[in-house]
Amino acid sequence: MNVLQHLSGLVADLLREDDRRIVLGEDVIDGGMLGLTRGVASDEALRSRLVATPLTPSVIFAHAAGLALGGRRPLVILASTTALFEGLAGLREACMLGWRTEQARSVPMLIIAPCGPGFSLGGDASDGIEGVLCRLPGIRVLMAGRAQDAGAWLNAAALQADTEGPTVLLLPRSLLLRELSGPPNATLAGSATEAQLVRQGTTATVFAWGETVEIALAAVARTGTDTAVVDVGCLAPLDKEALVSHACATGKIVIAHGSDQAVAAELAALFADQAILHLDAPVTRIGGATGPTTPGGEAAALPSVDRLAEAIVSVTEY
Amino acid sequence: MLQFKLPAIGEGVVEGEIVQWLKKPGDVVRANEALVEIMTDKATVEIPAPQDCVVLELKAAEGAIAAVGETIALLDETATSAKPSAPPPGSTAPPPSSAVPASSRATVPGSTAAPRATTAAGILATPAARAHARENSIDLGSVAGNNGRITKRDVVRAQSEGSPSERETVVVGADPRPPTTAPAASSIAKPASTATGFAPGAVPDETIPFRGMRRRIAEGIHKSYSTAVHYTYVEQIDMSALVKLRAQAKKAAAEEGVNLSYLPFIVKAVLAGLRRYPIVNAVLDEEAGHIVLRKRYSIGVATATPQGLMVPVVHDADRRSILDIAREIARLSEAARDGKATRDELTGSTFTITSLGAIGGVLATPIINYPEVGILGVHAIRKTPVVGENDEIVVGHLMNLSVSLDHRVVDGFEGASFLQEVRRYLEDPTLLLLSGI
Repeated sequence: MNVLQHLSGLVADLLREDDRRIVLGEDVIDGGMLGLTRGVASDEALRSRLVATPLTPSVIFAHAAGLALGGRRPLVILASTTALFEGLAGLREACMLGWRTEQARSVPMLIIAPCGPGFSLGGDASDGIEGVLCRLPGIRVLMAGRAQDAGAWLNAAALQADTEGPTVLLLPRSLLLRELSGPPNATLAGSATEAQLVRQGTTATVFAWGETVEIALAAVARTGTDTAVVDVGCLAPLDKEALVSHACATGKIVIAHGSDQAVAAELAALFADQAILHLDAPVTRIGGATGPTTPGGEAAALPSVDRLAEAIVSVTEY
Repeated sequence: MLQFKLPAIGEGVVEGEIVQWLKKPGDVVRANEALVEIMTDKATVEIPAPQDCVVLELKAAEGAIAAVGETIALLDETATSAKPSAPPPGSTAPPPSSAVPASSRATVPGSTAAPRATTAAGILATPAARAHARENSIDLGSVAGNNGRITKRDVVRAQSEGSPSERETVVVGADPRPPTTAPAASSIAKPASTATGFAPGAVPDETIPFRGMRRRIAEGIHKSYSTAVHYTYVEQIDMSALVKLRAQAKKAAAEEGVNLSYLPFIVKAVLAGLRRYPIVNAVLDEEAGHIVLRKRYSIGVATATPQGLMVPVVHDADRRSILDIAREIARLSEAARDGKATRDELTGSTFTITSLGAIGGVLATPIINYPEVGILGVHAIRKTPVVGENDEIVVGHLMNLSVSLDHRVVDGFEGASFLQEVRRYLEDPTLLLLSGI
C-alpha cells in the first residue's frame, strides 16, 4: 500500500467518524486527481458528502467557509498548491472570520494540497508556498514529514481544524507515491503544533519539515555524526519554545528546506534572537532551487543528501 | 618547532604570571633577546629567547599564571626571518591584515585563510564559546582554538584539561580604533570626537588591566586584611632630641656620602622594641598550630614605585649600623623603583615600616605585611608648641607613630608597650647609644 492509498482510507474514516464532515474539490466525486476520495466515493453511505466544484479556488474557499459557519466541517482537497496562490484572498477571508466575529463563530475547515516536486510535473509544481501561507493571520500551516507519519498528520490536521479554525495540510508529492514500509503511525508523538525530535543527537541539530525530514535523516546517517533531527511540522504558528530549546541543545544548526526560504529565514532569525548565547557555528540554511524547474530537473527543488551531509559536517567541525 | 617552556626563575618559584609578551607571533627573536616578562611572587623578570627563532604562537595570555615547565610559546628555530607581513617603512600600502577589525573577519565563516583565534584585533570565538567561558570564568586568551576560531568544544576541552588561567582578561574592545578609519597618511591621532563643544558621555571610561603587580598587591593585602585581626594604636612622639641629634649626624654622614634621614633611627628604635617584645617580631603558623618568634630581625621598608607598592627588606638590621641601614635603604629603594630588586631583596622581612615621609599625615591604619604580625606607620614631624619643663611654651618637634598589630597574636597591652618602648628610644636617643648601635 502506498501513502496515497493509506490516506484515501483515512479520509473515508474521517467522514465516518463525524457526519458533519464534507469534502469539496475538483473531481472529488470520481476520487479526485490524487485519488484521495476513492475510499469515500466507493462507500455509498459517504458518497453524498462529496461536493465536486469547478477549479476556482476562491469560490471553493468561500463555499467551504460558508459550510463551516453553518455547522459543517468541510475538507477541501486541492490538486496543487498552485490553487492556494489563486485562492489566497478567499482563504485570507476565511482565516479572518473568527476575528471578525470576535471568535463567536468558528471556521473548522481543512485544506489539503500536494506540494513540491515528485510527480515530474516541472513548472510551478515545485514552488514552495509555505512562506506565503504562514503570513495569513489566524491560519495553521502543517506539513507532513516522514512517509510513515503522513496519516498521523492528516488526523492531527483534522483535529486542528476542528478546534483552531482554518488549517492547511501540505502533503509533499515525493512522499505520496512511496510504498509504506511497515505499519504507518496512527498519531504523532506530540500534538500537531509541536516540533518533533525525530532523531536524538548531541553534536548538531538539523531542522527540517516536509520532504527534507527524510533527506536530513539520510544525511545524518551518511555523516555518521551524532546529529539530532527536528521535524518542525507546524510552520504556523511556530513552536518557538521547543525550537529554541532544540537549537540551544547543540548550538550547531542546519536548516534544511525546499524551494521556499521564508520559514527557514524565520527560524534563523529566531535562533539569532533567542539562542544567541548557545550558537557555536554559523546558522546554516541548505535549501532547494527556487522554481520553476523543468519536469526532469525537479529534484533541484530539494537539497540533496550530499549537500546536507556536507553542511552537517561543516557545522560539527566548525 | 620548539616548545618554549617557562624556565625555573628562582629557588622555590613554581609559577609565574605572564605580565607582558615582548614579541608577537611572526616576530623574529635573536638569542638572548627578551621574549616575555614574567612576574613571580614579587620580582618581575624578562625571560630571553634561547636561540634565534621566529615566534609561532603564544600559548599563554598576558595575565595568565603559568607553571614552571609549562609550554608558554611555540617557536620556530629553523626560520630566522619574518614572513613579509608588514609593509616596508614609508609604504602607503593598506595596513596588514591584522588591523582588520575582528567583526569583519567573523562574517566570513569557513574562510580558508582564517587567522589564528588570537589576533591583534581580539579573539574570534562563537557566542556559545564566549558564554561558556564567561560562565566558567575561563580566559578565552588561554584557550587554543581550531580553524582560526574558538568554539564551545575548545573551551570545554581547555576546562577539562585544567586551563592555566582562572580569570577573564579584558578582551572586549581590545581594538579601540573605529572600524571605518582609513589608513591614515599622517600619524597624528585624531580626536575621539570631531564634534565641537562638550559631548556628554562621549568620553569612554578608562580600563586598567587588573593584573601583574596590581593584582599581586591586591592579593597580598586582601589575604592580610581578611586573615589578621587588625588593630591600630597611635602615639605622639616628641622628636626634639632626635631632631638635634640627626642634624649633627647628617653632616658626618654626608662626609661618608650618606644622606641620613630619620628612618634609620626609627629602624633602630623599632629593633629595640622588638627585642623587648619578641611577640611583635613573630609569624603565626595556623596550620602547624604555633607562633614562631623570629630570631632574625629583617625590616621591610614600604616603598612607592611606579609599578605600585613594594617592600624591599633590610636583612639583619640588628647587625647593621645606622649608616649601613641608611645606605641599604637608599640602595634598595632605588633598585625597587627601577624594578631591579631581586626576589631575595623583596622577601623575608619580619616586621615592616611604612614611612609616609613628607606627606606624613596625622595617623593611618597600616595593613600588616602578612604573615608578619605588626607594621609601623611613620608620620610627619611637625613643629608644635609644647609645654616645657618650666611650664613655658617651647617649639617642639612632634611626630605620630601608628602601629597596626594582629590581635590574634599580639594583645593590646603588649602592642601598646612595644610602641612605648619605641617611643622611649626615639625621645631619648642616648638610649640608642647605650644599647650599642
